[in-house]
Amino acid sequence: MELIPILSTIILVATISTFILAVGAYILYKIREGKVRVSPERKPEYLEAEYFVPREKKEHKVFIEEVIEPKPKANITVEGFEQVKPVSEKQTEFKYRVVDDLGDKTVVKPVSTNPVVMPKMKYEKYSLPTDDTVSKDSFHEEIKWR
Amino acid sequence: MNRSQSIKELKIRFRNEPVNNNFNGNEWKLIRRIIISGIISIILLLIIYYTLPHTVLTVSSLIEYATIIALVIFLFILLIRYFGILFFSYFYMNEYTFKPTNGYKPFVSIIVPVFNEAPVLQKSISSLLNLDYKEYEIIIVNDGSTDDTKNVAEKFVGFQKAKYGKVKVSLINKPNGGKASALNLGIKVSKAEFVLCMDGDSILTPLSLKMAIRHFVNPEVGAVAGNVKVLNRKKFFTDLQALEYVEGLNMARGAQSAIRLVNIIPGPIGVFRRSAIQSVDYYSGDTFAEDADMTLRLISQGWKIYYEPKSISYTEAPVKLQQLLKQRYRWTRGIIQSIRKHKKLMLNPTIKFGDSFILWTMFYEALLWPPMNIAAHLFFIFAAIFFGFTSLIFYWWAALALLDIVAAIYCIAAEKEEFRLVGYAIIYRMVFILIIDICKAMSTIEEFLGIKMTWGKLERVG
Repeated sequence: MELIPILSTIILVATISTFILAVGAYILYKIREGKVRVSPERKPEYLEAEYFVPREKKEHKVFIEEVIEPKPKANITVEGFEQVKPVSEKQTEFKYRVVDDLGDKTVVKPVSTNPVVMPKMKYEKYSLPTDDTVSKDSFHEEIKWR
Repeated sequence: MNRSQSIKELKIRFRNEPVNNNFNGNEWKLIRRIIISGIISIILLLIIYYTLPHTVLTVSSLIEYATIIALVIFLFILLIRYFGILFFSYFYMNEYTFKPTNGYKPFVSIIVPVFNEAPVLQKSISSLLNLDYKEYEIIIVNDGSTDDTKNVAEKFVGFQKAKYGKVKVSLINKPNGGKASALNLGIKVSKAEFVLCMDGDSILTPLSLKMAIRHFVNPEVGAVAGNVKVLNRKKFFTDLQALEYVEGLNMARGAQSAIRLVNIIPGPIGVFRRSAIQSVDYYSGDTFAEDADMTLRLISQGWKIYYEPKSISYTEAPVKLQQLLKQRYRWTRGIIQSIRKHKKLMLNPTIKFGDSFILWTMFYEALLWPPMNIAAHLFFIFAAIFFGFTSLIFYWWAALALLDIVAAIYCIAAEKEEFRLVGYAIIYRMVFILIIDICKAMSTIEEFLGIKMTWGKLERVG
């Protein structure tokens, strides 16, 4: 027997079976759907939902009160208006404060306990400002408020 | 740290959006229309029957010629469609396959609407935490689930460890209102300029977001459709669906993207520009295919829509025939509802040619093709049984199977898919597509008759 007629018969049977299967399954699906149908209920215009959101970074800020220790005597000599000895880096000790809590990872920033020392700089001689608020009126030679 | 201290609970009040559907009001009007058109058809057939003896043709020769012409037209359309899709998708894939990412990485909100997805939610969120992307957050929207979904989702709320640091995961518990309503609430809560909308059972690959977001560097792009693949394979129907997704859906999407007019941004993965969503007033709940409706409205607003083959989302496909029919029934009716919503644009190509073109292709795929395919099969059965032309059906099957095998090899190679799926191409058209087309044709009739329908839910296996 030739191959093509056999294959043709197989395909024909398969196609007819597929047709029957598809239509049958569809009808069955419709019957099942029909059983579970519920009548539509009127819903309110507005609804309420719960929203769970992790607190943001800014809200997590935890500050530990800074401990301000008494200032050590600055090793400075006063000579006119010049300050000469800056504090060396070795003397700097750090205490930590928590600036941000990100769950597992806590970010900490060092806080120096040493007094803030201004860098060496040149000061200018201080002179009192002239009193501009009161002056003589050169024309009338009277004291006036400006 | 105490969990209650780390999580903030807020209340959201939102408008309850209408859920389906506005097309059921005129059943009698539609039935009347069908009856009138049926009577007119019968009158025309009678006229042909009684006037035919006065011409050179006989009834049998008329049927013979008409059938041959119909089959030639059918084959011609099939070939044009196949090679057109392959041609355009080849050009599109070539354009983007070798193009590196452009470094555009804005902040993105991932919206995960869930309804009774407890068995699969864990895997889904884990895949999101493994994304190769820095700036993103996850918003889970529980749409009134009746299973354990709420408890599963609550475990994720907080700053979860991801590939590049911590990712914020939030949860919204809302009363059941449909997927469109859940997505809309998630989008409104998010502050990001870009949102990725997905399904609760979808699993994204690490590159999914990175590859999709690169297209948004062009301000005209309103959305990017991802590449959906079947997750649960090695079963008869799921393997056939895996082949269908690769050969039938993704290739077509690639071809549509070549002209920047993708007609459906799939539910399992779609990335949107917020301003684009706002321009069309968010997702609409008045159709059963909210993704198709959203896409058509975006196109009508002039937004360009791209397809990204490397933005992959694995999704659970129906295992049983009943589940498959339920899914396709909803898709078909949803697409027809979307087409009907935009019929003005379809009938008048001068308003927006692109919109009109895409609507006609949808109309053809959803309404014209299934009856044509069913009619062709019925003809061969009829010819074999009543006229003994059994070999005709073999040649018909052989031609279609050859076409499907060639297309499957190309598509599988292009997508680096499993090669064993090529074997399914032999029965793809004669079995799988025939079942789907019968379902489509039935759904179309029901939609035009205005028979009421419900959403239905695919049972998740996990």
